[in-house]
Amino acid sequence: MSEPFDKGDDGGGRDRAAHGERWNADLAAYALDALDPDEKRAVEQHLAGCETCKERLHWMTPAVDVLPATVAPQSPPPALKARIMDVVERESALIDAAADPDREVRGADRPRTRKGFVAGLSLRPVLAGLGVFLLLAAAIAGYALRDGDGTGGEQPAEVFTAKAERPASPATGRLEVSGDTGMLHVANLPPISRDEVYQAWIQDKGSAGGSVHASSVFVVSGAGVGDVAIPAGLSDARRVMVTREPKGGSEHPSENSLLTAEID
Amino acid sequence: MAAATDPSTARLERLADEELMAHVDRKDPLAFEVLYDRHGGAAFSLAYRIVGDRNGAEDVAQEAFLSIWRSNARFDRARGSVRSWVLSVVRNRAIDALRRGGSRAPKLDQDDDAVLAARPAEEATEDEAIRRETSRELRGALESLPDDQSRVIELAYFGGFSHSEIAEMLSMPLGTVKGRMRLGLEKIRVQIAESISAEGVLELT
Repeated sequence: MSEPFDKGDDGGGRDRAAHGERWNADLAAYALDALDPDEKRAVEQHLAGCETCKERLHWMTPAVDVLPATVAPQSPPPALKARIMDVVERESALIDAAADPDREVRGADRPRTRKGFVAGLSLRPVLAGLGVFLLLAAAIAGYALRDGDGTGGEQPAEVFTAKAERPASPATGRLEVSGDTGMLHVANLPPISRDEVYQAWIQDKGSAGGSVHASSVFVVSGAGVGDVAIPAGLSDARRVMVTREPKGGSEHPSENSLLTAEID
Repeated sequence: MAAATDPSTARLERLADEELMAHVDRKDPLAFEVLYDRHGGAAFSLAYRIVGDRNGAEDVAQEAFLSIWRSNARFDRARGSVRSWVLSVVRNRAIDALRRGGSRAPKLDQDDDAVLAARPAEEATEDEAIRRETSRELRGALESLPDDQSRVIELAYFGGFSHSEIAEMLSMPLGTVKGRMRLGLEKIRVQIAESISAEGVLELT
């Protein structure tokens, strides 16, 4: 493939060269994700209307895509795949169960399921009612709200800091609210057992402190990091809280909040 | 690796990445497992290269794959391959982890060959030998760049530094940093084109 903005100087070549001179270095920095936010926006605005620069960026992108292949290969530990697939299987089972609440999900009933990951998992004892079923499904589907990987989508309207409620707790968080929905990003939450999950709660602005409603359940990485979609209920929310709950979530908080985002 | 005896898995394993993503979109855990089997190694390797320790790399890879699983797979084939997309998610997560940890010291002096030599012998399978050789060749391409070009590219891609941070770090004008990024990427791009024309295809696994 020939390189866009080659040095040719046939009719209009000088203009092309000047255009390339202006944008090529910015495009390289953009491809490397090395521009400051204002410059990045300027490049994206320019790209929206410049086919030549789009072509140039398209030509240059493989040079960035190849960079991961320059690192020394490492074999991931088998436990990593087991942990990831464990979460995937659990969430898949919850989605299936939300679509068909009467279905009791057991490993033997799910031939497409990897043996051992959800064998014996019954949702009836762990989910406290259809409301939680639907909420979980909405929450999982709500991950589509997230735009954490810089690949496009709407920016959150407002961002609130979530603070630890326990002394000396390093837990932190950030709540991004867009209308009635949002995304809670947490870090440094303490480890939990396989029989527990974290659960988000929404306290509304009603009188007498406002009532507390169950929201999404989630798990975190070994470093206590996780993201959870809040699929509804934030337009009238006073605060969002996080507690540790039995697997499947609860209808009412089992403990005081570990992490709270005040929405004011 | 996913169970080869499962016919569903065997069928999924025959799909191209882009076709596989349609199944991942439908929240098929077996399809997701195949996706992990294909790209988990590269993802972990990249995460390890950026964060510099295995525990941190495990966390990054786990966050990245769960993000992909939960995000309704916002893969856009117009933006490149599935592998490039997966690795861009991993890279973003790894850079976030570096920033959270406050340790953004660039690991530019990492001796990848020493890392490889120190690994257990049982990991040195034939496939892995090919990957290692490919990695060495590509690393050679990066290392063949003038130091000033490879340095700014590595600081940006593996260190997560912006060009203005790099300019301050290296005490050079902003325009010089961006110019070196441009020249370096152009040379890598030309080498890729030459590799493709010489060998028909560039293996990036």
